[in-house]
Amino acid sequence: MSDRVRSLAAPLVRSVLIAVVLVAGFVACWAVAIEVFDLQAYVVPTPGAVWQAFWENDSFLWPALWVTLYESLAGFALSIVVGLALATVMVYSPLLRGLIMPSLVALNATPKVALAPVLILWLGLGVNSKIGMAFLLSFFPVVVNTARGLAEVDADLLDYFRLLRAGRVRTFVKVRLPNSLPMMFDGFKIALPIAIVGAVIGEFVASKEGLGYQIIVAYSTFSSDLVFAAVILVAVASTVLYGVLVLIERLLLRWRPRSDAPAV
Amino acid sequence: MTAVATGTLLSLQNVSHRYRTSGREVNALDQVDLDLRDGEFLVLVGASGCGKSTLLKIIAGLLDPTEGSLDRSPGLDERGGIGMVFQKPVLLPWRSVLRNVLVPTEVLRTDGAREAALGLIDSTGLAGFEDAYPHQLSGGMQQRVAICRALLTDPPLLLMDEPFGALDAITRERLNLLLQEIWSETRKTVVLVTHNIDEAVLLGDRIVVMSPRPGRIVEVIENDLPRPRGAHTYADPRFAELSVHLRAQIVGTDHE
Repeated sequence: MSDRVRSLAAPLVRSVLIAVVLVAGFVACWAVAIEVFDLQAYVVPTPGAVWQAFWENDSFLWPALWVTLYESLAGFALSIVVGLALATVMVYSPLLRGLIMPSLVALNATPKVALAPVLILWLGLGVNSKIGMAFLLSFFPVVVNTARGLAEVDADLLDYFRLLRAGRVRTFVKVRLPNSLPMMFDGFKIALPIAIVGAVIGEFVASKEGLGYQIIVAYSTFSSDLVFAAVILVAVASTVLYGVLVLIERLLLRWRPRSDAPAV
Repeated sequence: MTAVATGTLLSLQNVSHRYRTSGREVNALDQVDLDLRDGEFLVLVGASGCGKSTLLKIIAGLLDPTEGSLDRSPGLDERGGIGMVFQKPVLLPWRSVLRNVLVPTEVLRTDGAREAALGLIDSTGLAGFEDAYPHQLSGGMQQRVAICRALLTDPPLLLMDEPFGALDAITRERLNLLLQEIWSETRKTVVLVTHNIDEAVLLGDRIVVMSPRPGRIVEVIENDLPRPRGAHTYADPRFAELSVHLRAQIVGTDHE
């Protein structure tokens, strides 16, 4: 194992160990709380019951997870594409920035969850409306952070590239884009979990598949153990994807000083 | 644009630069006449706000003067014809030392610069650090990288905007001597902006003294202290004479 791989893996191993301890502690508190407060199974199921519910229903929970993840990641990818495009436009045109930025702030201020039924009306009951929901919830942090990263370049560095007569495209590719990567990733780390929340909300409102749909069905039969199993599955999947994102960030931003790289 | 006279690299006639900030007009540069001689080491010295950086940007072509005219010899108009070093190294932090030095030829799409880059890295005392990232280097070493980058296209003119202003005194003196060495070996024309009087006297063939509000040239001093200059130069009575004179000029003009 090379030093580089080891230096990337060591903090990961440590955070996994910490996570295991935290999860064990959480499950223990959960089990104790049920005993102490004498909670009914339909209110709070025991950890054992949730575990059992998961493995009894995994034949449809896994496919449901893939649907939800597909919707979330498609919405997230759309956020990145649209976010980068809008941010680029805003960096080069102060006029358009003046138009786009207030619109984005207003859009971000509207309760987007309330728009879920409208999206379903527009995009149908299938995955498209959920992708739309994931996109709508997640793209604000992407566009704001990317725009900042693209814009916050040292004026002398831009002067230097002007002296070389590098042109806009070369300056964008060689300076602005790599300069924005750290901030872009900060935006991605906020956006990715929100995209998953967006997909689940979309499934809640109207759908025939996905974990959100399974949660609604389980609620309707008071199967709290299954609800918990599905919710925990969403949380675990979201955490794993976040970890993957952090790994990609570490690989791409190896050049950053160590102190700048926060643990997972 | 008219051609410049032989032996002159660049000529400024009656150049002024004004800009408005918060409703007030600032006279950054007022009626400056200056010829840059081919191969000379010119120093622009003055208190902050005297327009020396503005003048440097106008020479670089990064700023258009609001008045006056500027004639440049054809060599300067080629891409990569002017090298520039700023007060901050402004390197690309995601690139190694070698790949930072190679930026200009990469932008200009010229090949075969790798050998030249490695030669520059070696001659500026950075050998062994080719693959290091900027954040792993000290400020002085980063500035050496910036100097290599500016020299890679072998430009006839090297512009330096307070390049050693942020460094400690010892590093600054070392880089002063390195710069003199580079200049005497390559015979490039160098324009150095500084507010450090000793640096101005140590390095300049001609020292252009500027005063603030409005930015004007108050005096041009021919400095014939023998070269190569170094630690012994500080003991030269003419060094003391010149720096006392400059201090009187610059510190005097700052207290109106």
